[in-house]
Amino acid sequence: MEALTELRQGALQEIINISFGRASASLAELLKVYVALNVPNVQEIPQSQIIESLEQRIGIDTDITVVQQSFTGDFEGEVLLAIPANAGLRAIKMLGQGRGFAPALPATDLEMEAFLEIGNIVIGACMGQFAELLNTSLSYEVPDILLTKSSITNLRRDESNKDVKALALLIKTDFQMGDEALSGFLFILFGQRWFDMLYLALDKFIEEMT
Amino acid sequence: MIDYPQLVDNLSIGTIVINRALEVVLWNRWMENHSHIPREQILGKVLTEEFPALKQKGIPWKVQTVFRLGNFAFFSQKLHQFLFEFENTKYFRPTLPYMQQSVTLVPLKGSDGTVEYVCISIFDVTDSVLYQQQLIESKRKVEELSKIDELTQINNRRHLMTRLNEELAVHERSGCVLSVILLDVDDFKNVNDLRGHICGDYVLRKLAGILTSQLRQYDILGRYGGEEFGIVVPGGGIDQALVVAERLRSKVEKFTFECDNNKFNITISLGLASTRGNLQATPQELFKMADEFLYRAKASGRNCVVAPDYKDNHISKDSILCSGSRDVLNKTSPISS
Repeated sequence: MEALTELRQGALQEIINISFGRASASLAELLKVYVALNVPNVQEIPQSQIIESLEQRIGIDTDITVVQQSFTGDFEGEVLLAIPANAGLRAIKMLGQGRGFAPALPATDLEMEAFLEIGNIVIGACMGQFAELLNTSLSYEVPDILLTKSSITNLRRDESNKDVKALALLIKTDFQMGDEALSGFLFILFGQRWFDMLYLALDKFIEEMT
Repeated sequence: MIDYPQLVDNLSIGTIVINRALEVVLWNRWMENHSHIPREQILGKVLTEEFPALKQKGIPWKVQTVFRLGNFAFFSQKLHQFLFEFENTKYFRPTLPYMQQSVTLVPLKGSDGTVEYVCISIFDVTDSVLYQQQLIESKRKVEELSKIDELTQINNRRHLMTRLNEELAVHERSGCVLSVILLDVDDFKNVNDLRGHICGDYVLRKLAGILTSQLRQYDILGRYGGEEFGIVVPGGGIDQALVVAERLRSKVEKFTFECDNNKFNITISLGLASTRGNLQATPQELFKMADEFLYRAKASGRNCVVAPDYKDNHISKDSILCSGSRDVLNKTSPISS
């Protein structure tokens, strides 16, 4: 199955653009959340450089909160959503504005719940559309908070993951909900052992398009 | 052909299916057992009306997003502890008052792709929560132990230096002066030689207690070495540290120790140092300076406090001597060294 050829890279970018476009449309329509998802590039990066790559793109001086969610199905991977640490109140307001998000939790937990919820909704919508375009469906695991109000340098990679490479997509996200705006980063990682599966699906997509 | 209803009933996972009106259409046996509500009684009922507390947990919001977006939704145990208030029923193993739950909401789609039902799965994660709590508790204990001196139950030297380092960083930023006191039991060798090591240990424990009782809550006391104790006096110049040191000296001098029915007194000598004129001083430099003045206190006949005297932020050659015979606040007088 070799590598992420230019053709596949183009197809992947296209799929991401279409599916994320649909995801933001459905989020806008259903929840009145406007999400601009900007996909600058798709690349293969060695496992050992994942954190480094995140550090470069997010910057090490800003404190962030990171929500992580794993997805499983025909292909598996993880999505990270990095949100500025000081965005907690904005996140709560965003979900709270007439949308009924008001669980009875202490302030800090409520902030985390809002982050988890935003992460879960955005990740679910994006990956759901992505899977649909590739004629498959995905299941999702419980989202988790990987990092709380801290620099990305404090994120630790799980050394037991033996994959040498990962396919990494970094997506800049800008949320707008009512008066509240929030910027973040979505980082999608596909493990190396799922490359074959993903490439097969991409080839099929390319075939159908041509 | 697999009997799916039987399968769902035998899962050790709570399984509920609700429709758009939040009416229960499936309630598996696990749910019957833990809620004590038989399915005949709940099928067709609105879930949030049967369990009003679910509204507080934010169930309507999550169910609504699953129906509208077709996504998965979750209740994190870390944030919510549990969704349903199920009492624990275990007899032998340690447990928590309520079953800890991790909950997943999954969309069940019809043939046209729209979400018709939401399946709620409830996982009992009490055991892993307990293990996690035990782990955190053990970690806390180990950390605590690594900071405490076993004999005296006050900070050990390493932790005293760590705390001093932290305080120095804060003081450097704020420009405030900080002082340290180093004190040593006079003729402690005699206590050990004449009364035995058990009595020596008792003296150190008792002394740690006296010092603790005389310090303010934000002063930091630690065992520096054998019979040496270090004290960090945050936000205080030499004058303030002198008052503290003299109070300690006087209290110890007056205290009657009792060991094997023998009553006796001990005295302590104290040396002071401060960051005045050198806000970037390291913990080592400060205690080295305090040690020099402690040496002078010993040389001046013990049972006294010796502190540096500052002139224009520089330590003058003279030092201030205070002992029990003088009133510290009013009559501190420089002596020639």
